[in-house]
Amino acid sequence: MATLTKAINKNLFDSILPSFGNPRVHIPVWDDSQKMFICDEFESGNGHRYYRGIRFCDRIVILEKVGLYHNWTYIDSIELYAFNGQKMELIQKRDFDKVFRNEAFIRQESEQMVMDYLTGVMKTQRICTPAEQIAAQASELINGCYKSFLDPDFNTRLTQILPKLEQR
Amino acid sequence: MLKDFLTSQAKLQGAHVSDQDALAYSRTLIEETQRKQLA
Repeated sequence: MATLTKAINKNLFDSILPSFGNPRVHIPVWDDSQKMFICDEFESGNGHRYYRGIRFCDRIVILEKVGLYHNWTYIDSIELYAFNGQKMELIQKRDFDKVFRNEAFIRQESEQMVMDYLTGVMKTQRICTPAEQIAAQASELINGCYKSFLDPDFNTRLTQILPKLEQR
Repeated sequence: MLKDFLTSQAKLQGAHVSDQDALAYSRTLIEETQRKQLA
């Protein structure tokens, strides 16, 4: 039985990492180092490479657009989405010009974007909420987005949103 | 990195693989790569 399981797993692993010349099954890729799903990697006509990074919790989605040029990795933009039913709506966007990608910077910017969104909504509705409370809420949401997909309690149902985001 | 990748790809397909199997497969691939570097 152990040998059979091993053989099944070997087939599975071989389909995930096919040998040179064979196609790979289209499955979103989780990158545990960057704590995000990577998709839509492409190479431009002049040889620059780009990819999108997606991380999410059950309330928000963060979409990163990243550019690779020679030895450098640039953050091109960060988009923040909210759910409206099963649809996603853009609620914040930041563009960057020639800024190196840095994990701590991305996290800090994302948190600020969530805070800005919450503050804006509160102001529109004339609700007075202490800044600390908004900051705590934003921090909690961002922490949720950085949860590892490899954790046993990750909400895998949320991966349904990946195909919808791939073409954005 | 390789083991994490394999584990996550299996999880996305709803397949259950043991940590041990993912690690063994990763090790084999890394060893093969190193052998080719030395060849």
